[in-house]
Amino acid sequence: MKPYSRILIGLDGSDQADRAFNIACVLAQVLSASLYVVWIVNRDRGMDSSFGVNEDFYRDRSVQISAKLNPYVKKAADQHIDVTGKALIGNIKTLLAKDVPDEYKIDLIVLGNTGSNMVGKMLQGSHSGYVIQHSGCDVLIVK
Amino acid sequence: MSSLFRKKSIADLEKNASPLKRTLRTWDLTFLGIGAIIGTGIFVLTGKGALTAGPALSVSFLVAAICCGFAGLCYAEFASMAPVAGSAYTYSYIAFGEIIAFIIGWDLILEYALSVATVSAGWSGYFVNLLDNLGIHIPTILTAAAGTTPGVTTVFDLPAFIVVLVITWIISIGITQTKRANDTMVIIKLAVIVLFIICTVWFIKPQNWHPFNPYGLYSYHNGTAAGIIPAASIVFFSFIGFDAVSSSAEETINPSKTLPRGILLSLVISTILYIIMTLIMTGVVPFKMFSKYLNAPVLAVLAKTGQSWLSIIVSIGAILGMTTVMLVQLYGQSRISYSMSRDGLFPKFFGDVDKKHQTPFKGTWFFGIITALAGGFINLNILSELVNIGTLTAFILVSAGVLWMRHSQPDLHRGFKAPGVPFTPIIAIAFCLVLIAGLNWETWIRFVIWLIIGLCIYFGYGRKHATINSKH
Repeated sequence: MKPYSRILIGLDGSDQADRAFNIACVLAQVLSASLYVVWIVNRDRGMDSSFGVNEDFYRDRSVQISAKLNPYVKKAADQHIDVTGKALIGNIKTLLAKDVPDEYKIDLIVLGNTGSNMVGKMLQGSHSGYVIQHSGCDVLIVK
Repeated sequence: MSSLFRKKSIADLEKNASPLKRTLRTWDLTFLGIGAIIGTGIFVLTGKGALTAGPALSVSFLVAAICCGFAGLCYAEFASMAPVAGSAYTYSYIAFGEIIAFIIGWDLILEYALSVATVSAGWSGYFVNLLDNLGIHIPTILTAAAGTTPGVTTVFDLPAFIVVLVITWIISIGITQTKRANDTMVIIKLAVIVLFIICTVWFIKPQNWHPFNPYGLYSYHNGTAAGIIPAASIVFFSFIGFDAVSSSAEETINPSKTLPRGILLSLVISTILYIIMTLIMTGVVPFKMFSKYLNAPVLAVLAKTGQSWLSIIVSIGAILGMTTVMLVQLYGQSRISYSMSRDGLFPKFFGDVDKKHQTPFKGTWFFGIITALAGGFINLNILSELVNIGTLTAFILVSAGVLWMRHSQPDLHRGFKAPGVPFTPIIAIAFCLVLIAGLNWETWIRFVIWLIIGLCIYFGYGRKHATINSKH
């Protein structure tokens, strides 16, 4: 029995996330698992405001991120991994912990331990911490 | 000439769009609407409203709500013309062309910046009261902008200035709030309002309601417009944000039925709360007393009833609620200037996204500082009227747009069709015009000056630099 057959890796452009990506690739190769690479533009519904003024910003970010995602997908495909890349807009925490894993039946989430700065951590908590607490599957945090 | 009306193509917008899941039902929309509506206006502008119309302010809320109902239906159709999420500014770039888009964008910049400044003045009013209750006193001269309270010398609103800068900093480093945090704030605000109603209703003295309507529908008193209509023009501010419901057409199950119901229910429920609040406030306190409590009118009532414990609770609730509103509004402010900069209508400075924080860092600080200065130096009367004229103008343009598009592009995709066209947009426009007429003439002049500055920027910069140039 394979321990993991569908691995999710979350990117955010940081060095730690890149390291996490490399490790996820190795795991996917060794276990012959499928790899789902996602990069999420954070959109908190609590910030919605009149006349939809925020929407253009999210859309632009998502277009840019789709482009940034391509080299990663290509790199994984070059290693003969069955890979899917997705640029998404939404709440990073809930998407990573629940929505994406549910949709793709993920059994392992790999994340870099990045998150925001000190103030952000104090006010919002770290993303990886949230995912560890709330996800239904195993989580691997790359430090 | 035609290049003034050059348009963006809808295909550009639909690129990379992912369809949204339809999950919202009537009650979701109603809660969304109430959450967006309830809070700041009632805590900040009921004092000015009561001074303008007396106890008949309750009728003014009804007038403003009806205006919002019709305008909300029109905006719902406008916002669903493209099957992807976008701002009113981007939609109008597609539908009507560049110059109208620029005017709407420029108008929204005014609305957002000054509504933050307005709320910051109220925030400061409740904050200063809270500190007073705790035995900490800020020099009076630094508690409000010049000309806020007649007979009291104030120069600069230090708490307002500081809070706007702090919020600017929070947004600039990319911190946002979740839906759950926002919902919690809505519930806190509702709880404070209900607690206030329960605790103060017993102190009503019906003689304070006579005369009920001291200034009639519209009159001119001590150099300012007074009466039910001018007060409605002021408290229109209390409903700003209700169009959150309108922009949810693509996420709504069966929008043609659900959306009007959501708009109607959220307006009805919040209007009933507002009417009860104002009847209590004007019933407990003779309305002229509110001139001493312009920034924090609810506290006038609690000073009268002597419930200082309650004034602490109300102040904390109001401060929390208003903080999140400023957070959301300043965020919107930085995003609308981002959109205009991306399209080349504004300098690149405003659209420059910071690598580390993933935010339009410079633009956020630029407008944050201007807003903080506005909140510090300009008094509530001037600020709130300008916000309202900006928002009302945006709704007029949107409603006229719905009429125009039905005529010029009848077959276009519409996720939601407003009922009763052409009457609904015409009534919306008429109501908005009436509310604009109810504002003071100084506000009209200030607004026209703002538009002229905008057009100078457009013709001096935006027209030449628009990115649409390079595509044609």
